[in-house]
Amino acid sequence: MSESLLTMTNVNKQYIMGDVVFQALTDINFSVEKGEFVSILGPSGSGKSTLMNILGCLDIASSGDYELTGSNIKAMTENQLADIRNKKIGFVFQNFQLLKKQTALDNVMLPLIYSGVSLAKRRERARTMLIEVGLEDKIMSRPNQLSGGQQQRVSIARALVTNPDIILADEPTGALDQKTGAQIMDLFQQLNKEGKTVIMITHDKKIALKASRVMHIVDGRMQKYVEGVE
Amino acid sequence: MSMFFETIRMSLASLLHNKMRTFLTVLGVIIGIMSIISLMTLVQGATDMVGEQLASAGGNKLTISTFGDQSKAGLTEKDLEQFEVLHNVDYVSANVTGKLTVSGGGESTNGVMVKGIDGNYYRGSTDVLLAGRLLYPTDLESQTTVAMITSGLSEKLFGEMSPIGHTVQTNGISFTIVGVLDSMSPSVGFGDMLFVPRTTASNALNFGLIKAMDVYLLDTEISSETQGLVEDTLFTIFNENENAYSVFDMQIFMDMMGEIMGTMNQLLVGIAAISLLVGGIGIMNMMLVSVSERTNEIGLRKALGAKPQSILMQFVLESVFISMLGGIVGTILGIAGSFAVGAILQVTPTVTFGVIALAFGFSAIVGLVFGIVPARRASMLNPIDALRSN
Ligand SMILES: Nc1ncnc2c1ncn2[C@@H]1O[C@H](COP(=O)(O)OP(=O)(O)OP(=O)(O)O)[C@@H](O)[C@H]1O
Ligand SMILES: [Mg+2]
Repeated sequence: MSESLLTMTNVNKQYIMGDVVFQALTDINFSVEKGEFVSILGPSGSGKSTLMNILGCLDIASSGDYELTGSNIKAMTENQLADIRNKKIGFVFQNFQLLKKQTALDNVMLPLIYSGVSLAKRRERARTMLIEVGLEDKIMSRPNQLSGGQQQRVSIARALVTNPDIILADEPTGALDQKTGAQIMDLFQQLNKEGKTVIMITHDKKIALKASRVMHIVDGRMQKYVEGVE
Repeated sequence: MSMFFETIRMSLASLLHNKMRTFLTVLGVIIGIMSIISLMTLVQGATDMVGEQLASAGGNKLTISTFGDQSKAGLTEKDLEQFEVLHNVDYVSANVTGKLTVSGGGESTNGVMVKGIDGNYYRGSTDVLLAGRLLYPTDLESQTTVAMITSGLSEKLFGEMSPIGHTVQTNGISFTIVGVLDSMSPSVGFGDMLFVPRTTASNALNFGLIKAMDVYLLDTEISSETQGLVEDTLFTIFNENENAYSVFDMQIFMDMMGEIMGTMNQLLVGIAAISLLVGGIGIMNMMLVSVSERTNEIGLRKALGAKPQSILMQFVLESVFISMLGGIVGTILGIAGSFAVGAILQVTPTVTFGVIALAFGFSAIVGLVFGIVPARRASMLNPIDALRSN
């Protein structure tokens, strides 16, 4: 058995709005091993993004434990969480989240600023990443000069540039047409073959099934996906 | 360190992107710094000018006037020697004056100030000799009847012609003119004057005893000590009658002037600083707008690993940059403006390194103070909420 990259034990998340408490996640027990490609499938409002935020250390579970590469996230300070997000996690967002005024190169360089990498190294690594995702001729383009698929490739390059342990993708194909979406999925599969751990969140069964393991989340509860159960 | 430069780069890029808004915001600081710089340099220039004028009128001397009494009407030539030997006294210069009618060259002018002076008179003055020579100590010793005339009086009596060698008459005595003094000289003022040897004036012109004397000091730092010695000597000479004389220390007057100008300067700069405050509020406003416009960007940066302090620094630096930019432009415009206004007021502005450093310091502080609130707001944004905001 390969080593466990992350483990969630009895994770719960409540949102408190005034005196209304909303249970967004209930008793999540879930672990991911190094090199896996896991997709989390669920309908809208089921708690996918909530889970992704906790997995990505953008948010903290209300109860339960989340261990990432051996360290418990509950005990971390805000600065330590920032470091973990920077070094261990590569985010791919549904709506790309690129800085509109900056070039593809600048966008990909962004996380490295916060890793304290020198400008020359940042450029070199960002350029390598952009070439890897097939954008060698778009390095100096701005987001508004790129197609949706190209923009998502930039954001994948940005997620890869710090060489993180996990790629976390929240609806990476949500804003793309079917053909471009399929190309992006090919890219994820290729990355996974090269050894990257990928966790992908989606509400699209066809997309989800491209992963090697599919989890199902409904009303904040997670179980293994069984064909035919919606 | 690379992070610091990166932050600078990001701040500059964002400022350049919104050129118009940056310019309008910077304008507030420009106006503030410009007024501070121009006021300070002008007031300092005026202070220096007044100071120079006072110094040329004698910052290094004690001015003695005697009123005399029944027992003693004024100072004699012999009394003067007592002052010359006092500690810290460089030399003394005494004079006697009277208003007389002077004629010469076929013309006549009344109310001319005739001044009996000694060889030291011109040592402490910046008067300008246009032609001929000054009076010599030998003129005093032999009580010669030579005179120096002011250019204005000379013109009235002799017209365009050089008066040197010609004679003027006053009180029945004929004086040969040996020198012409510029009427615009500091000690002349705008009047007509005739300078003759003091001894000749006292005796031949019947001006009598000396009523005015300047005691020139070697070291102005200890002028009050010397003033004490001079007063002691006068006390003895005037038979212990304190009301028979007065001693005036120009230095004290100059110090007082300096204080008044200093207070005025502070007041003006205080007023100008208010406009800088307004500029600062403008910066804060712009930064607040900028933070809310860039909520999404801030969230993204945080999600990608930016720590609160990096975000804080990014926005504080941005605000300090705008303010410093205003400081630089304001300093340049302020100096240019003060020279322009100075040309009209005939004041040469004094631009010191200190003033410029102050302006830069001020603008940096304004940027820091007014940038900290928006920057803190940015640094504390929750990345999840911020990412959702577009
Ligand atoms: N900050 C919040 N405060 C209160 N309730 C929240 C908050 N964020 C999410 N929720 C609620 O939690 C539930 C799960 O939300 P979440 O965003 O995780 O859903 P999702 O599975 O990602 O849905 P979608 O596919 O539409 O993105 C929703 O009912 C939502 O209203
Ligand atoms: Mg979602």
